[in-house]
Amino acid sequence: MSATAYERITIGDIWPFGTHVFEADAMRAFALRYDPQPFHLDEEAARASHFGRLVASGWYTAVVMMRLMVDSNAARANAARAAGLPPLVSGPSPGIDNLAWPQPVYPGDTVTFAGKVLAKRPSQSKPGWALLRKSITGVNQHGQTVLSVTVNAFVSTR
Amino acid sequence: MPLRAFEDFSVGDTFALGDVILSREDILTFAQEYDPHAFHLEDEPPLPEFSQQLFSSGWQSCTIFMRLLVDGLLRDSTCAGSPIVEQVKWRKPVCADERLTAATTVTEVGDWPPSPSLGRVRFHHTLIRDGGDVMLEMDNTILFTRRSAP
Repeated sequence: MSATAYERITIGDIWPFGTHVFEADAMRAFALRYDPQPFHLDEEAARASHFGRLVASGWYTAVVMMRLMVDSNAARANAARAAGLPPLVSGPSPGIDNLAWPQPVYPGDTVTFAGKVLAKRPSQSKPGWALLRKSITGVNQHGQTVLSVTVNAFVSTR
Repeated sequence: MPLRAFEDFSVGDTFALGDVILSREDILTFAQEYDPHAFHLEDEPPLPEFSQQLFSSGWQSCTIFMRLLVDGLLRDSTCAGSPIVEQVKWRKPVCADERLTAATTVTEVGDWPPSPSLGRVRFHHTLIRDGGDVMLEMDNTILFTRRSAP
């Protein structure tokens, strides 16, 4: 019998999520809804701010990462199925640590996101599930980290 | 009214930030755009061991909190952005039509050595459901411009 998807996860595995080009209009549309601060909304106001330029809401960078992560997980599960292997089933997350934005994201920036597996352990509270701990980064076209976070998420052990 | 600056924050200050209710459509729209897991998209979600009803993306709790924080506190402040959210805990799944009340408390204030014109304020944020269940907790450092040079 082949190993389960959970058993095949190795500490140190790196999962590329993909790349996103940040567009000013999309940055502003998100900010208008969720984070309407002047430096996320208006080029002129941003020039007068601490940032000096329009910058993305950190929450926008985070949800862009999330979308790429979910899509890349689905693609990896499909690839496993195509290879005749059991796919990894992802569950929700109980929380994250140190969601940091070391550098701003500016319009036109290209950010590449990836996750690295730090640890895995069976869940005490949910039989059949384990907690996977991943370090996730987003790196811009200059090689600067613009987002880092450590995420805990449930994955099926079956 | 002058903007609230770094000097105006003290440990223990608490701010009530209002409340919000997510509709089923709000949950589906956010999940389709940013977090399209099946368990955020179906009325009878897979993985019933986590929730038997549709539940929202944890990121949606964070972003709706952020909006209440901007409207209730940051809009009238010298906020200069945030370098880090030290911790996010999604304590329970958030479902449609639940009233979520936001509040935050100052837990630390200090210098911000990379930029002496700024100071850092650490907050403990909560979203609490009617009845008292804590749904979301966050520890978050936010930077504010000082009123006067240190």
